[in-house]
Amino acid sequence: MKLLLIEDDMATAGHIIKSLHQHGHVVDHAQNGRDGLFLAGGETYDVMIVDRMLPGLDGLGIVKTIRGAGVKTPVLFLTTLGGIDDRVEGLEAGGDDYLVKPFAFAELIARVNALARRSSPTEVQTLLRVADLELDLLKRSVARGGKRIDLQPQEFKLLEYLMRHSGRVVTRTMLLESVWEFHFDPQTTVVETHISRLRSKIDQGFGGPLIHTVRGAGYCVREAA
Amino acid sequence: MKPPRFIRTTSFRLTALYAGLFAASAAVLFGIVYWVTGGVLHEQVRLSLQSEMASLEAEGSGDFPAEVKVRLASPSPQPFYYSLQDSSGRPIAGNLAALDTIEGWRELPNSAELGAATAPEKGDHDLLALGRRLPGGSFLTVATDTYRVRKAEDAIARSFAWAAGATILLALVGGMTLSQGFLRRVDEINRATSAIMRGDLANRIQTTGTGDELDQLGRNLNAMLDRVQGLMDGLKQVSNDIAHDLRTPLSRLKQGLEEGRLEATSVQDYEQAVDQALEDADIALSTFGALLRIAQIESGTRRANFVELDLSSLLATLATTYSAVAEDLGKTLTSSVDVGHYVRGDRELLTQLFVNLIENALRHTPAGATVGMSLRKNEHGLIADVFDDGPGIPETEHENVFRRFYRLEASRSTPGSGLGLALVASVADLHSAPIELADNCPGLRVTLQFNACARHSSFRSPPIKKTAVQTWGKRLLKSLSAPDVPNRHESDRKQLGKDMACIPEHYASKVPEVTLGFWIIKILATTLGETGGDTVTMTMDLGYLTGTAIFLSALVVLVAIQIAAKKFHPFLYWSVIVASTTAGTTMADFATRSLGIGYTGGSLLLFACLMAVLGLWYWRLGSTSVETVNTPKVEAFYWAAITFSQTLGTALGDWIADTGGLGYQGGALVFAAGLAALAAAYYWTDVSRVLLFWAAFILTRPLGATLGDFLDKPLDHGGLALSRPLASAVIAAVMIVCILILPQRAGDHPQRSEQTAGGA
Repeated sequence: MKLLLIEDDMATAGHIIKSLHQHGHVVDHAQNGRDGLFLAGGETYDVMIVDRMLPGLDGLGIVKTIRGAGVKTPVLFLTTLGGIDDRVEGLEAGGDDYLVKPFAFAELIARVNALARRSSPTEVQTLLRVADLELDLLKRSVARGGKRIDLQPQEFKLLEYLMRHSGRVVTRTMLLESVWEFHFDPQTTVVETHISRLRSKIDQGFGGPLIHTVRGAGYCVREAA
Repeated sequence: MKPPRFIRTTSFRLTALYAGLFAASAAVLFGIVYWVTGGVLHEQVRLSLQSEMASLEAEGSGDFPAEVKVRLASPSPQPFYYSLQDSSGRPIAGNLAALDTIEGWRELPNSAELGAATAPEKGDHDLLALGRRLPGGSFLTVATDTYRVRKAEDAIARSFAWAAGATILLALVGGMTLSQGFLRRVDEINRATSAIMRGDLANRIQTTGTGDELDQLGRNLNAMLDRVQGLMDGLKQVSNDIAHDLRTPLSRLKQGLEEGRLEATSVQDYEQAVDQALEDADIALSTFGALLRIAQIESGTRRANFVELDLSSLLATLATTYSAVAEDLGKTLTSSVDVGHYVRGDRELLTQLFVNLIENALRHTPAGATVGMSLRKNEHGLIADVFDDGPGIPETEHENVFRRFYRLEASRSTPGSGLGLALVASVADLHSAPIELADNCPGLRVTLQFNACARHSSFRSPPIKKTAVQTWGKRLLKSLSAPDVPNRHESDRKQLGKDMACIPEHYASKVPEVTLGFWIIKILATTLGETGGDTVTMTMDLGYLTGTAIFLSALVVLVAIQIAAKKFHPFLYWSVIVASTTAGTTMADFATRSLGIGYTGGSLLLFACLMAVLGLWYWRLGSTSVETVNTPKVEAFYWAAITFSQTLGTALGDWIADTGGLGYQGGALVFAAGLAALAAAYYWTDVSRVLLFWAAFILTRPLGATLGDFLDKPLDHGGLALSRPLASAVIAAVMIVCILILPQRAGDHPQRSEQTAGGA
């Protein structure tokens, strides 16, 4: 993937670029808002990673400008710690996701992957399928190997999110935000508990496990290799 | 050098502009009137000369000299001057000296030189002459004196000059008065703001309670300052918290790293040290994040994003989520949530609030415990409960657990930052939801009281908490009754619920504040009393006794109404003043003229009466402690003293003018000088304000009387010759305008505060 990183802190930027390179991505880097805007408007990227606070032109301004110019590239905002309003502002300005600094690199790569997937033009899916697991969004039913599985509404939502991102790592935070709408870190094992319940329904008594734990990163739904 | 401040104020500049405009329009008006009137008057003179000439020509066609002599002999209403000269220019008849024989109109400079026999009035007498060559060669000149025309023109010019002068003067005085009043209040705001800028953040702007724009500004500024102070306090708190409580995890992190650096020998040791360091850093970061989050919530900006949300479904979802978590922890989560209850709030923050409460309950209870949550409606709104049957929190700690970083001894071992309940408290506060901890016997019960909001009824605002309204009302009253005490910042959330004390009913004063506006209206009222009293006693010819009877009974009725009134009504108050001054006028005239005591005796008698009333009042109040200033007794004293001082003022004015032989103008000068002395004493000395107030009250009386005389005296005596009823109506109108325009507010009369102080 070709990515654009607009970040003024050289240490952070260097770290991100190095890690993204290791994952096989091509990264353009701009150190200030104006260069960033220039690159964002001129080149085509799969995902843009934009810091909120930049010298020259701030992140919000850049995204507003390129959205105004019709650029639809997914944008991931990097925000400062603790800002409750930052997320809302970022999303209103045209951002697609946000990540609070400091962040684990696994979190960044998972979110970048999720955004890149979103950008590819997909028809409205009503049936999600991973191996022999099927999730029908219209009937709101789940079946594996033709056998119907009863899920609680929250479990359904959790599985739907995992299956939409099948083959990719989904972090705990991403699940908390999108399934439970928790924009904070709970002190109890909410995600783990529900994943284990879902596993007991989806994976137990069937062929291979489909929900995999990726150590230090999150979960992934994919066919057992 | 800069001009005085009041000249630089907007209101003064506007007034000056208006004065200029008035003067200009008066000048234009004058020009037109002068020109038109002058033209008409001159035309009249010319016409009369032409007709005289014509009649002379017709009637004296035979013998002109005889006719001229006849006309000179007969007394004519329009005195004409004649000169008949023969063809060589020698005078034949007439009372004018020989003239150049010029046909047509001309001006003759001075009648004395021309030998005019009699001049009706002294002064420069220019003549307008019409000359004509008569058939037969003789030359006839008829002339008339234009003195009266010029005098009329002079009169017009003079009256306009006076009017223009008075207009400009009034406009300037009005402008100064208005800008001074305005400036005083702006100064107050400046004083408070500069005090705040110097660092006295608790300082507040005094508000007058009139509700006008400046008052509104003051109140808004105060509210803004409260907010700023709250934010500053919050910021200070956060800085302190960070300084104190982030040090621990950071020093632990540093220690761990140092240890690793010194003692680690294998890759495994290093990895362990790094993992530990990461964990410590995460803890520090999450604490930091939580602190900033609380600070942001407390700043209140989130309130702008409030939406109507389904609290029932929010709680039900959490119950589903956490019953699984509870089960895994070997505990039970029960819920009884009534459906369909909505509140206005922030979904994200409310979610976090309840998650924190549920997780707290789950984390601080032993295995096998039951955690419950419920939502139901009560008469005040919605009650949300989260409770458990664990060890609970001792009652003495209930207040403390909402403090940041506060952790109970028993829970020091469980992980956590000590910020969970602090965040709960700040979110609850943001939603104006009082939070309460109670003993669940056993365990802890956390209760939140929300304002319910009916579905799809955004036009209906949620009911305001009773306690908040009462606190606000109390604060308002406090600011009204004790303007010197700045409003204290009441940010204490818990205090809000306890402020249930009722508002005392009788508090505000019923008399207006003594300001320049007060004195202006007072003088107007006195003038109205003078003209009104004279209307009844002289114009209607009812006599002083009847007049006194009428006005005294009116005064008694009005005083009774005023005493019965619950609060200060400007119109009622000034009606009583007018009644008292009218009664005072007739009463004084009755005493001095009808009873024949004379001005000296009358003045002395009335002075004694006033002193008696004031003395009695002082004695009564001095002996009793005064809690409220508007008891009926105090008011009765107040009005008695006012009536006597008005009466004394009338008698004193007459005494100075008549007995003292100074006349009304001289009297007015004396009293004006007296008032100026009082004003000087007020501004530059510490003379008792009580004394000054009553002295001013007496001295403004004759001033009003003089003003009244000026209005209804004939023109040639320097008055405006308005009829007494008309003058009364004019003054009444001006007074009403003044009462409406000048800020009217209840205030402490100086004698009250001082006598209260004396009695205390």
